[in-house]
Amino acid sequence: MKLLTRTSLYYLLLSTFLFALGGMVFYLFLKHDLDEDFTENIYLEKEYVEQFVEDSLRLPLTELQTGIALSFEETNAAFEEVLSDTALLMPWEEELQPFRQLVFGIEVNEQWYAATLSSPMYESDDLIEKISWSLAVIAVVMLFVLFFLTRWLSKRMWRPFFKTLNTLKSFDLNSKDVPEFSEERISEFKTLNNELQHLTTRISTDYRNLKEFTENASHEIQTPLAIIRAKLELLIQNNNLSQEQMKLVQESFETTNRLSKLNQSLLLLSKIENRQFHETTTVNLVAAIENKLEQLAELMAFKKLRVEKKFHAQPELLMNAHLADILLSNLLSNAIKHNIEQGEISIQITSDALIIANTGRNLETDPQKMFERFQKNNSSQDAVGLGLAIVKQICDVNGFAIAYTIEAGRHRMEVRY
Amino acid sequence: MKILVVEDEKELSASIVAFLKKEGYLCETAADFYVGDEKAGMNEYDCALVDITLPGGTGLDIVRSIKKLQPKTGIIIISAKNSLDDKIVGLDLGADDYITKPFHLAELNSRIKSVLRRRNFEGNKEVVLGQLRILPEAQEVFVNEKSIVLTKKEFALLLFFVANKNRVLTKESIAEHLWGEEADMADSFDFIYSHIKNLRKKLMEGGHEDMIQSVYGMGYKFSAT
Repeated sequence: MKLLTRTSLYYLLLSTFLFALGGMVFYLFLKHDLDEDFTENIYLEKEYVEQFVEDSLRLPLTELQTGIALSFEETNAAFEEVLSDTALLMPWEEELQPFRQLVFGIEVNEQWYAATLSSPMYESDDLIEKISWSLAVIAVVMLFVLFFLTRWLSKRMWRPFFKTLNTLKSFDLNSKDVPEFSEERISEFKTLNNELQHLTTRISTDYRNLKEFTENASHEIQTPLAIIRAKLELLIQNNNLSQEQMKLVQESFETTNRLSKLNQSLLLLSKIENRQFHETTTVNLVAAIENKLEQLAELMAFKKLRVEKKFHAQPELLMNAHLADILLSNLLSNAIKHNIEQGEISIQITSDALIIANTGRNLETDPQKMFERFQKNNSSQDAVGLGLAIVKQICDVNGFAIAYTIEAGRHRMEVRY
Repeated sequence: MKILVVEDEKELSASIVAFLKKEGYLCETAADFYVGDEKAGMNEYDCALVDITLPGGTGLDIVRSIKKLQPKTGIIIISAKNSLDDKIVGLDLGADDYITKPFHLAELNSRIKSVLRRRNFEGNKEVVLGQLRILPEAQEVFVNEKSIVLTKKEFALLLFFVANKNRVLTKESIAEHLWGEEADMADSFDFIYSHIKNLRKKLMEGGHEDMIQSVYGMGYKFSAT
């Protein structure tokens, strides 16, 4: 739910409640006042009648100018006056109408009369009804106005916020530039933007420093590694080493080689991450695969692997040629390396996907986890465990999706482009 | 043969020199751009190994001055950067080859030999070693003047062995020589073994004495007198 919808809803509910309450109070006050007015008027008439009787010693005319009906009835003695509300049938109307009646005793020439003053109240009801209606109309109009006003105001007031939100959305850690948050006049938004500016700048700098560190570290390690390797190679050429010493040298040499490979892979990973391979060309996938297969042909023949090619399309990928080479090289050499003797490799190319499937031993880990760095199947001790991480990284920077599944002893790598 | 090694890492430079001296080369070293540029311009070397990142300047500038002042000198660029750009620029400038750190000394040796061969023996680019005569350009091998047929990989292997005769070649350096650095074939050692077995068989069938020995499971050695 949008913030605006929610605030509008709250406004609407609150205003409706307040209007209903106000209307009710207004109605009660009005009714009370009118009520008092009626009673007062009736008593004024009574005073008039009594005054008239005292002055002229006869009953007044039953026609009064105030619209209050007056009637007399002979009675035997004096009695307590009674004020009551009653309903009477008017001769010209079908329905019963509300009246206020005052019955009181009055003596004229020693004869007691019961005087009845009847004041119609339907006019007051009419009035209340009319007033209530106009009030309701005003309320509805006000609500509408209020509703649209708040919407408009909110939209206007929240505009800087949405601007900030959009700027934030465009923030990409991998892109070199930090988003620029605008200068606002409203202090809350100003603080928000300043803080965000500060935060994004710092995150970007930290991230870049970290990446640079990885790259620099890998880069700087290259030279000492080269030296160690060269020294060991010199040592290997020494004819005076015993077999035991030679074994030690050999193990050091192998470990150094592993370290060197690991380091090169890390360097490559951070370079891909830092998007240093930005030059793109169109890579014909089928041609690239054929080329790679030719390079690996001997190795596949050595393992007696059967290759099945199904090229349904000739997709042209816009990407860095070097990365494309590494991607295919890693995928295919994996399919060879982890294959079994006399196994199979099937390569399928469609207009939107490259699928490489191969026979092989079962994995001990979750296939998807193999894309993580330093994840490797326990059986292959020599591997560094970065090959698939590099594959994943190349797919990521090019916007490809990669999935690794195992079905019926077949390892299936699918790259969607 | 005179070789100039322009490399700022003294230890690496010393190792290269130690390895190359056994080949009978005369080596001179330079540890920064200025010395390297001066030496390369003043003397005629058969081959210069030039590191790209040097204190004081870029090795590419040294390549430029060698091409201008000593065009007969063969040039191999050494770089820690595995960057395609450097490679292309370096080769465009006229460098003969390009090698990336970390490299195997045997690989460097074989590259130097190939550069020297291409530069020095004009019209006579053959390698003779005992009963062997190899024509690298034509990819032909003769044992006692009888031609034997080798596959591409076997031929590359033989040339690598001959360039590094009497040295122990590690399996790693052979793998890298045959498949390059990118082909990370951890289990390709078996494959190398089968290649070497075949090569040995073909040479011996051609009447060559057995010269390739395995060294403690570490590598192989081509012995020649």
